Amino acid sequence: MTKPGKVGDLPGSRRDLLRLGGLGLLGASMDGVWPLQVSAKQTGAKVQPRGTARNVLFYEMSGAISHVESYDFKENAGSPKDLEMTQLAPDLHMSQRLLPKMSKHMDKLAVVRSMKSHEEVHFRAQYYLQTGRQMNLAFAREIPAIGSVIAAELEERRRPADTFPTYLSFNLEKGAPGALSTGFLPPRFSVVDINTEAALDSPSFDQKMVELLEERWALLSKLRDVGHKRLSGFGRKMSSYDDFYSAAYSLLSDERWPAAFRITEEDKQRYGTHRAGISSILARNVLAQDAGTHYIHICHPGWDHHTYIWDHSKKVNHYTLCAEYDQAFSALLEDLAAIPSKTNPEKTLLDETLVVNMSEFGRTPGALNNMAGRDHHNPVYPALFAGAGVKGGVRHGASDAGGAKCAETGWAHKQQPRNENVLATMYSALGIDWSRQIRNTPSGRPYVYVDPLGANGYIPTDEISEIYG
Amino acid sequence: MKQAGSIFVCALLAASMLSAQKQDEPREARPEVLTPEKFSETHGSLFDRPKSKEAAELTDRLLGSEPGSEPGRVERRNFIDQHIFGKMERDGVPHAPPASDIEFMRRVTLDLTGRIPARAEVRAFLADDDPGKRDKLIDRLLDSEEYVEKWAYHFMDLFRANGKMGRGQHLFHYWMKQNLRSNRPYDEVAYDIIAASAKSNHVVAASNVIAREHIQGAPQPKDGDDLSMVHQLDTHDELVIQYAKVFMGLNLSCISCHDGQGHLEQVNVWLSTKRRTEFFQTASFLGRSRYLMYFENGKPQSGEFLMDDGNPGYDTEGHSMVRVARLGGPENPAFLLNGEEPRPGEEPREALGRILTAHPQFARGTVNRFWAKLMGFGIVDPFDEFDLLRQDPDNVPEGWELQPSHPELLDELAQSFRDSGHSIKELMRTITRSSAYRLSARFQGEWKESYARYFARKFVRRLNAEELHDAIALATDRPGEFKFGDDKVGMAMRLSGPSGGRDVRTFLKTFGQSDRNTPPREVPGSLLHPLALMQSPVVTDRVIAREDSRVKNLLDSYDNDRVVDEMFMGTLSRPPSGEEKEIALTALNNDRVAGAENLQWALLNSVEFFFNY
Repeated sequence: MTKPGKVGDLPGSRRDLLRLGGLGLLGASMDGVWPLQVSAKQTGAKVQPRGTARNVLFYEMSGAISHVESYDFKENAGSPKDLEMTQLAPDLHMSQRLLPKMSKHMDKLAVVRSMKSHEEVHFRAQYYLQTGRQMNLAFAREIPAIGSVIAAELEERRRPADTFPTYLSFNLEKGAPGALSTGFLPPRFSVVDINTEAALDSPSFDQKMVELLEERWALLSKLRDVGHKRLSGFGRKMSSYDDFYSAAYSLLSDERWPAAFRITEEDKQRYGTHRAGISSILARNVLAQDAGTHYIHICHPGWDHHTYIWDHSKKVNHYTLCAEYDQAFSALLEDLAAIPSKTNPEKTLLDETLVVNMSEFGRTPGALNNMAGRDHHNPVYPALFAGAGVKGGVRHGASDAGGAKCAETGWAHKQQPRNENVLATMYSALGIDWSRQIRNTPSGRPYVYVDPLGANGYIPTDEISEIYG
Repeated sequence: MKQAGSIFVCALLAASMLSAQKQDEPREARPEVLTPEKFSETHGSLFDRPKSKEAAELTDRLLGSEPGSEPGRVERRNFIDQHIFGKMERDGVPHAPPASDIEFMRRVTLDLTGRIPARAEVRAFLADDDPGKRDKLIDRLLDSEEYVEKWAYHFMDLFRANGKMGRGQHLFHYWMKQNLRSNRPYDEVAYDIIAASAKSNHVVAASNVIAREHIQGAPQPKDGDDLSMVHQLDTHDELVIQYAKVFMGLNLSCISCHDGQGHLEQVNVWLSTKRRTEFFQTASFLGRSRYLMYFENGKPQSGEFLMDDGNPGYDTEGHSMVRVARLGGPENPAFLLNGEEPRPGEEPREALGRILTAHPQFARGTVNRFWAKLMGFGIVDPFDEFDLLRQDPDNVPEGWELQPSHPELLDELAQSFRDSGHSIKELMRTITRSSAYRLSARFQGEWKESYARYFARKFVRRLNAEELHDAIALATDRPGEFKFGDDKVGMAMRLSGPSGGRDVRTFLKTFGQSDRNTPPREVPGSLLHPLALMQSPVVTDRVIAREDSRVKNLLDSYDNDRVVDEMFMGTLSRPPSGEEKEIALTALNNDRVAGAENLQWALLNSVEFFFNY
């Protein structure tokens, strides 16, 4: 519907700011509870948040990467012969065919090879990644996404100049549960989920557009002021848009926002123009602007290879997705490690950002299934950590010879670590006391930050401190 | 009174509503009696600039900017009101006052047809002094083609009608529209969908739900009648899950993989008593159904299937591609909710259609769904998560609450739905005729979350993506340019599914347009909404004063004063308040064209525009 030569139209390039994708949420959002009634500690909890990170970047390989052909390589009947395996350390074999670039960054990464999930289907397992707890339909509506809890926790730390949303995500809408809502938290802590296809054309800044927006904003503000009393009677669902409008206007008048969406040719070459690449470029840009975003969730979908996992004739297979991931994620780590922090010139962005990289579970090891694929496998799979003081080049825990079960947990507990513990690790890094709970939820059931009640009895709620060496 | 014109009725009504308010509520000065003469003298017409401060205040009053609360004063219009207001009275819960004519007009038009009302329609409605005009309006809307379009779109979303139906998608859309237009009994529609057989789903409309839900088996065909192209058993399971969800408000996904016991005790008492083998027995009704994918030259033909009854029957030990292994169990069809079996000689699939649509849960699930659509949320909520062991007030499992907020109302609604011959239109008419539906969304005093389950106010909802697009197009008189076959279509709600150029698609997605792959989701408020409304070409292109635009036409036809009134009326379906008018006039008087463009932009960006309240 865009045609050239329209009178008074906005310059085309500015439109691209708007091509930021949609949100998808589980269930209806509530009005939101505020202020929160927070209890400092659950009984008996011993918690000392580290506070080594200002940001957390969570990179999800959604659909589940085959762990035995990535970060927990095992010789097995289902692997092809062309993986060009190289031994980088006694406990580290990496495929030069699949992950050549990441092989060069293993010194930055702590690999925990003993993760376990409560879940074995995508919807519930990805929900579990986004919320840090099992889905309970009776309460699902009031459960916020982790990023929204972090946004609420960090609100006090927001500086007047911060205009970016605290919680930003890329392509979460492509995941099975979509981008989850703020649950009982007020809508202002909502994720802003960016669709990378829409964000590809980098916008430029234009003075004429800014002036027009200012002029219109002034008129809108006057009308809003006189209509405010009338609107306030309709409840928070409507009145929360006052906040959204103010936030949107601040963003649009902040030069750093379009700057964060600037993608150079060199970026495209290094990261790739696929979803993984664009998400990673934008995540880097957003962190580099240091304008208020502190939790980023990248969703890199497509890894659910139940069929023809090694078939080159398929558009998407383990080779193609590894190629995207290897290119994008390695470039991201490289840049984060090179860009100086805006708050501390001694540090790099990686020093102040905890990077977590994992799937919702692993894939069945051994021989392929009757459709030449691998199925869901939740008993053991790896998670990767980098930055914010994490000691790289180390592997923790181990799976058995076939990669089917856990052989060694690699941390202080007999049980395997789970998403709850990854969550505790992220809270700890951000300096958030994860033993807290919020009492005034709509259901009256306290919202505990890290839920000790697992599927089959109590589980540890500790962080995985071993990754700090 | 008649000569005096439209506004008096409305103004008087608003005034009488206000004067009926509780005396103890602190209120600002207001005229005790508002006569038509007085209103006319001070105000002229609604669409003239107010001649005095007092007139401006009267307009504000007309807009209902000062609602009050008056429990017990609302007319009981049908059985819904007996239940809703009766319960509030018993429990001493306050409720919002009745909605004004202006509020009701816009609300019901959006709810029933998905469109904002035209300026002339609003005026005609306000001018009508028939006390039954609200009921008349409902009847007119239910007989409109826009009603057909909105609810056809709704059903297309519900059945996730997309390319998996191939060309059957358009046929299915056409059929749903026919059903709605003729108000075909809903049990017949459901029966047709469940019992459909077809040489091709491109010919038999009702068979397209089966086509949509099929699970692909083998990626490539081996020979002429390759049944493995569709995973027969898994498709049966998917269909049972879909029928239960859409037609009965039940979520059977969990028990399609494992018994409820040991899993669902904390979630759903009824499901925790249900076994996977019972799920299989319901799927066994479909066991003989056979799904054959057409293919030519070794390639599957996109979305074309044959469906008949050529399979041997359900295999409770058969391989599954999408679920944990089937571990056996009885293979005779028996309905999950009551164990009913096919009659001797009856085709099992037809038996399922018969048994399901005759079961009380079919009517209960359906009325609850439409109640939720019109009232904000279900009597059982979430509306598609019924717990069948928590429906009886005299028999509630220990440690649980009764699930429905108004169990007797749910029963009575379901009964009246059955009595009406499963008429969707009658159901919507019954709900929208009630005073419960006609409460204001504005609640004065402190709102408590616990009032929500009483339906103590009308709940606002953001327009859905298609409604919003169409509202913008209607307000600016610039329809969209969607391709629909060889035609161009201006309204998103008229389409068979998501369509449009990049800017439009992005805009619609931002406001939650369903991609029909995942189930429809409700999108909560977000920063992305103002970002889109402030800058998307869907809005900014349309506020430009160019040929054929509303803005230019208004500027060419009227003086500034009238332009402001018409723009408010055309966009927000109401006149401006005195203060709003001053602000708007100042903008136009400074720079006529830019001021009008900016005003149109600002009105499209006002929160009330993208809400139904």
